[in-house]
Amino acid sequence: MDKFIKTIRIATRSLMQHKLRSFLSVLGIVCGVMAVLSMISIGEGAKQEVVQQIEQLGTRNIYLKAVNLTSDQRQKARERLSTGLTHLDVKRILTGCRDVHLAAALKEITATVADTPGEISPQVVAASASYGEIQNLVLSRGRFIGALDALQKNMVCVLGDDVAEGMGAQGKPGQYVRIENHLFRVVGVLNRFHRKESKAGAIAVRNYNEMIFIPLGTESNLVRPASREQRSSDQGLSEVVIQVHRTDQVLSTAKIVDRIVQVTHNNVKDYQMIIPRELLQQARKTQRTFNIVLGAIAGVSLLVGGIGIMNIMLATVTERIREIGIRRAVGANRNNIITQFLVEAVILTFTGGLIGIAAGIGAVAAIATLSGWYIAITPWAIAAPLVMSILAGIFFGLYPAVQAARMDPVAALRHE
Amino acid sequence: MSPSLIDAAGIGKEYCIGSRTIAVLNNVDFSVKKGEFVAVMGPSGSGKSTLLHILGCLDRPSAGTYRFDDRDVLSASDRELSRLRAEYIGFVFQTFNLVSALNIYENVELPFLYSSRRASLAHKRITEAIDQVGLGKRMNHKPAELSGGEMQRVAIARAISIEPKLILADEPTGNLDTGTGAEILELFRRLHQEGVTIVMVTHDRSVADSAQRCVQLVDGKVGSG
Repeated sequence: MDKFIKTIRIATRSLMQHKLRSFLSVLGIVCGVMAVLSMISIGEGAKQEVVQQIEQLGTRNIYLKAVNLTSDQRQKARERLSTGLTHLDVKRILTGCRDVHLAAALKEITATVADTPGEISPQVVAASASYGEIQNLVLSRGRFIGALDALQKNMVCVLGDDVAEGMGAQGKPGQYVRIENHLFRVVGVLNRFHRKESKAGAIAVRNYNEMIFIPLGTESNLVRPASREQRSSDQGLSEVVIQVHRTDQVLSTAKIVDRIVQVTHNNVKDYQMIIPRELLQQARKTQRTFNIVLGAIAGVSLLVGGIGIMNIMLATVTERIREIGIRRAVGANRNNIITQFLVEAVILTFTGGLIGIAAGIGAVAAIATLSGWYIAITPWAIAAPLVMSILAGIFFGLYPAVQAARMDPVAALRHE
Repeated sequence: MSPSLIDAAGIGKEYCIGSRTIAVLNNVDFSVKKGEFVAVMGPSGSGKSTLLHILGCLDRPSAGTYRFDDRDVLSASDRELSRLRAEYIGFVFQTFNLVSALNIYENVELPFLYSSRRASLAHKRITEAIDQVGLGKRMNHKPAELSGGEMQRVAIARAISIEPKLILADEPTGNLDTGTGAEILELFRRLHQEGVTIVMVTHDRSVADSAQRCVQLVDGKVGSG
């Protein structure tokens, strides 16, 4: 061990004799490691972001979302007697699929809310009582909409955190909020919801902080007689969420749900099905593809870096033939010579790896601040390129080292 | 009578250069007893250095038998030969052969990297050896900062640091002026008095005179001393 440390020290000494040369020869490895680290970090960040978004949607959930139809399509839908997502769909799904745990409906309402500060425009939604449970909505005060509220069409509401805060003293349970011309009693306030911002629209998570929930059914009171057009588009449900018992039931249930809804809608595609679990699998698959591309790039860059190392090591060996002879004369065997030059090569590549990691972290940090991307530097992103740099040193240092060891000691000593 | 350290018989060495085979050594018998100081003399090209390399286990003969310290050297592997060199044999060359990247201490330390000796012991031996050749105050100097005589002293320190059974010197004064050469020879004589076995190759009669015994080598054969 002690001798190995000395070998490292002596190898470092030899490398330091040609600082610039050593540095230049290591640049390839530096760039390679830097590229690998930043790509892993960017890829990992993107993956984590997508996964978190999808997980917020719930991996046990299946979403049916109403699709905005063009007037042409609307005409066709009407001909085929499809009225969009309705309570009927929910009922049929609940009775038709064995594995469904809960189903909830949601309807977005266009309504003005009185007494809200300018910067917040609350989204009013009418929701089933089970919606809160499916989405794991946690209340900071009061309760969520209950089953009875929907049944009795109670004029109550639950406020999102931002809404409640914006309303100040009025945004508390027991107070009243005026929506259009009706007063709704506040029964609960939601906890702050930490929403993962999404870039892909299809899997956007709702921003519950800016929402006001009212019981499904009460929304019919709110519709202004003046806006007939509004009314027709408000007819169907905006979203149906179905939750199954276990994640492995999602895909089979989704198939059944799709069939049921197809029948009730007479094959009109006026809805869109979103299965977070499927999205998750897709995201993983994409990640795998990305990893392969990454691996290829890493391989190429390390190959290029490695060739540089091999080149410099061959030059070093030729330059130090005499030294090899001396070492052999004082007792080094072939393996000692191989070890010595391998150690030098690995010191080069490992140093390159360290510099590359430092540079990579810097680059990634810069990318993160400049682009606003979510970037995750995992231990793996540091360990993998570092290990690869060491392996590159061994791999590309081996041939020059063996060349050195094979030399005839006498000829090496006589070398001018 | 002290036992033999070197016992070589019928040593032959041939080199192939292209299609030609050149015999450098031809049926050389050579033995050295423990504690002897032997000079090998001969004109350049007589095969002196080749003999020295064979005796030092750096090279293998094409023919003959060689026992070093009662060990059969010819059947030994590279690893075993290297071990012999690291533990028992010290080389001193005409061109000093120091590693320019390393300082004096590290140059003298080199053999210890390849021997099984303990590090704590090594440090003591290295400093002692450097003191012995009178360079104790310059341990951190690089070879480039030394004169020829000093470099040769470092080489000698490197050779004696391992407390070798045999020191092989190849024209150790060849690159030095007469005065410095004499100092180096004096160093060898002192080592000899301390009981070290020395074989020295030279073409210089006056240098050979400092040895106990002189062997003449002419055209790869042993002549009369």
